Amino acid sequence: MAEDKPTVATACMCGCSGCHMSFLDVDEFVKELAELLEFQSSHVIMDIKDIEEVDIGILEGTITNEENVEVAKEMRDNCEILVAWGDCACFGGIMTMRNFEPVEDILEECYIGKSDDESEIPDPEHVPALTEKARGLDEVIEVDAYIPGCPPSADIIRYGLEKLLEGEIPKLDKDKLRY
Amino acid sequence: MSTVKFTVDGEKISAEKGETVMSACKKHGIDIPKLCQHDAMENVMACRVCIVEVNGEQIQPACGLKVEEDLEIKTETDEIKKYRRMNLELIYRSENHYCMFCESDGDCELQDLMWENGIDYFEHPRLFPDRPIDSSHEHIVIDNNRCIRCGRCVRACEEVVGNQTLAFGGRGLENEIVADADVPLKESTCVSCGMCLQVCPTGAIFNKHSMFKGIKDECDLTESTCLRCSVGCETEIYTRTGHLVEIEGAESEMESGGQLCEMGRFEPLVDRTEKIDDVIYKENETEKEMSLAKGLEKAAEVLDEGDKISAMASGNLTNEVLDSFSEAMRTHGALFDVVGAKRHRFEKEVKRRINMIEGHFIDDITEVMKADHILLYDTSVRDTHPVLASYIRRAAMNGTRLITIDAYEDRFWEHSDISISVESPKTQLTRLINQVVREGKGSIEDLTRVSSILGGLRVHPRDVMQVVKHLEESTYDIIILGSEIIDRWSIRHIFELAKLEGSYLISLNQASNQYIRSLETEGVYEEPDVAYVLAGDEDDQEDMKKLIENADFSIVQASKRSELTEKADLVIPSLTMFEREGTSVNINGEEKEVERVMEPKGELKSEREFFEELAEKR
Repeated sequence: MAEDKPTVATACMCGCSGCHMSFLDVDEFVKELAELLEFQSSHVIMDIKDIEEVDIGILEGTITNEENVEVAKEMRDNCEILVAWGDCACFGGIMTMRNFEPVEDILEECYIGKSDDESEIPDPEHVPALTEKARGLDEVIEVDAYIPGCPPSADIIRYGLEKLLEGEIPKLDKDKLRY
Repeated sequence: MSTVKFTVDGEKISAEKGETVMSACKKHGIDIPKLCQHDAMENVMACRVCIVEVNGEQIQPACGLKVEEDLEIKTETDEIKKYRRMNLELIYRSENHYCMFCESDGDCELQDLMWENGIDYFEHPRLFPDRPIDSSHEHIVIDNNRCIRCGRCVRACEEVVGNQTLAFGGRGLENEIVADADVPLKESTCVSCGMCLQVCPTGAIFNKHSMFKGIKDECDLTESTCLRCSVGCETEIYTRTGHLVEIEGAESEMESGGQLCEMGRFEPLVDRTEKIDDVIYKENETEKEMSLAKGLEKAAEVLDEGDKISAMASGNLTNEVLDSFSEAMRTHGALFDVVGAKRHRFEKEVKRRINMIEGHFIDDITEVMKADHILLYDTSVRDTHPVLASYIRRAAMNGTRLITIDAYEDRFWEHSDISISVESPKTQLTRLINQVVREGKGSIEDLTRVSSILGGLRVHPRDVMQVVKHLEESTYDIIILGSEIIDRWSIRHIFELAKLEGSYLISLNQASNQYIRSLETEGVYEEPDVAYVLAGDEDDQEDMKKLIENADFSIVQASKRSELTEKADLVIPSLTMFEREGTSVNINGEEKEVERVMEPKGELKSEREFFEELAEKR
């Protein structure tokens, strides 16, 4: 493990992991990337999930429960540059469709209304409680770079990482920006 | 028109006085971003995306700013970019845009501008307002979640279609698009033309039959002419892998504003009628399929044996098909007619008898918007020639006096100044109008004479007086005859009235291809030995049905199954309207190109060759 390689941690909030899947679509670039970056932890490609101090922190997904808030803040505290991957992390994405109804009504509908007799609303002691609204990352923590898309294409993910490796904050517009 | 010189981003350009900065820039290839502006409509300055810097001190929307001498315009300063970004973000975040499952993802003017301006995050939180969706209509969905209140649909409905169905309802954040007094679109006064969804910059109003079939960039585009009525609108037809995706009106055609009607825009997308691919010969109650060549031989054999042969073609075919079909039929000794041509022959005869000159006939139907009086006989125009109907409504909205005469419901009741309901034929009424015009108002006071002319018709002489008064006041009046009028005397009296009053005429018939005016046609045998019917893609015509029922042996050439093909003894496939190519003549007498949208899928590749071969088999 070379000391001078920038370190990266990735994590997924409330999302489908589609952005991480799209990242894996960079194909053979992964090999090149392994030479240039040191993956410290990642929720789909590594066994290590604990976030330690890294240079680049990447988050996918919407902030929709207490755990998301905690992990997002942990990532923010532990990284130099925080990157939001995908529409969910950048703008809130499809998860924000729950914002049209109060949380209680949604839980009631899902766990009681549309379920069998034994089902009950989960206890927040065991399952993280839902936040009042589903939100994009930057309503909770500071975000340095945005890579929107549903999901962002592998090319755009690669472009974003390459810019970061060049020491720049990627900024997408025109042909590169899609959502 | 005087010219004005002004500067845009350091470049000197000239424009006509009274023009907007946006329109002048467009002519010089300078693209100013916009959402609410549309060339076919009035500018309302709603979206504030087209803002520009004026003389280094002010920021104004380019669509509402008139050019002035020495005006200094900057379109891309840092400040402009900042405010444009802010406006775009506010437009986007105020509503519920979800690009990932929106029908218009990839075809959206708002999305394009968001990308172009690099909006990769929001500075303000989103609102998530509760918005209604109206999917009651057969073809059109209005999803207020994606509506940016640009008002294009509202303006298109009023200014282009003259229908005033769509409007803004509610105030402030509750503001939304509603139909009439907030009724479901299906129950509204909507004429289903689909102009609203064509101009919608986002996915707020979209076509049920085209949704998720592909974005325009991935489709093949064919520019053609609609053959559903004689207005002959220019169409832009989108197809993907040989399938129809969407049909739009060409917006370059400014008079029509790019509109189409339900027949042209939606019906081909909805049509699921079974296609005819093979020749079907029915003998002793059993159906037998045969090859095209065998079918042709069979047809030739039947035609040879027949003594009295009647041939009838749809009026919605191309000149080339009509020519080759009539040629083949005449070689076989048939009498030849086209649906709609009968009305034209009556007119020709009337014109000859009353010695009427061609100058009475208008060669541009958009002229109705310039007339001060319109006398409309037969309001079925609303259904048979919907785009012409939109011009009539627009005229009436702009102050043209509209007089309607119909046997049934007045389909222009919202707009007509005088509406007379009179049983068909309308000849007596017109005769009375003629008489009053000729002999003066005194003649109507002789009530016994009036009632002797009107016979049993229940028309109030006051209405007749009103009509005459209007016609006399007018300096430019147009008489429009709908296609449902087919009795000779009505036509004669209406033409006489036009001659007497110096009115202009628009005479409609059932055929969309007015090539029938120069094509030789005649009445056919009503009870022939053999009837050969060449159908179009429209619904079955009564004349054709009658002919087949009365024939000993009937041949129907058609592209899809219908009542006609069920009754025919021999069914031969024809091309669909999207497989055909050639030319067609519209109501203005202009020759229009009809392009092939799809490759012929069946054995038949060219109707012309088929008929040439049929003619040779004599």
